[in-house]
Amino acid sequence: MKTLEKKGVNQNKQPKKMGQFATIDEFVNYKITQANKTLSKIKNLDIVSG
Amino acid sequence: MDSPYYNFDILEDAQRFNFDSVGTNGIIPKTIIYSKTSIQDYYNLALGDIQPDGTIDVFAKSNNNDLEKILATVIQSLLVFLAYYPKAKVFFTGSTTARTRLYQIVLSKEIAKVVNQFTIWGLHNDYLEPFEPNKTYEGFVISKKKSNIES
Repeated sequence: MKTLEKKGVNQNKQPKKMGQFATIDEFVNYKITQANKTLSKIKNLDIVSG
Repeated sequence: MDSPYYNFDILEDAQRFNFDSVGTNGIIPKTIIYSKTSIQDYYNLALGDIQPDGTIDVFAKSNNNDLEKILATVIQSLLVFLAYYPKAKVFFTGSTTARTRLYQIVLSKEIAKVVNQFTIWGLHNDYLEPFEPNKTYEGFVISKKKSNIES
């Protein structure tokens, strides 16, 4: 126990499940990263007119 | 567009919408977020459950038996979002392949109702193509159709 405390391990912190985000910002950043990856691969984005 | 949907709060310049899913498992707060991507005018649509501790869960299976009402709410939020940002192109995909498939089924059902207002594209093998109800896609892009009055 002491060793863990010395090393700064927060034993009360629950591990997050996959797909779970602590904050809205974390969630948004994850989704944007995923979207950017997918969008960068699309070869005909210009087909969509806005 | 006459499907029942949940009332929602419009937040952050209409880039975020909060609503409560009310069903067999009680009240589950949800959030819809439209975020700018690295490509001009492209936004990402994300839907997540707000957990009691404030965390967001995108894989949560709330099993609240109100999926159609939730997705109708997403479509309503899209109407509001595109009214605020008429040049926006909204990209979205499910958090899992099964969810993407589910979105496709709902889009297929809803397309006849929205075809006059939206242009819907399906992503297939790195190319966007006009959405076809019976085809499998990896993601979708929706934009507002230009009206004759605007052009």
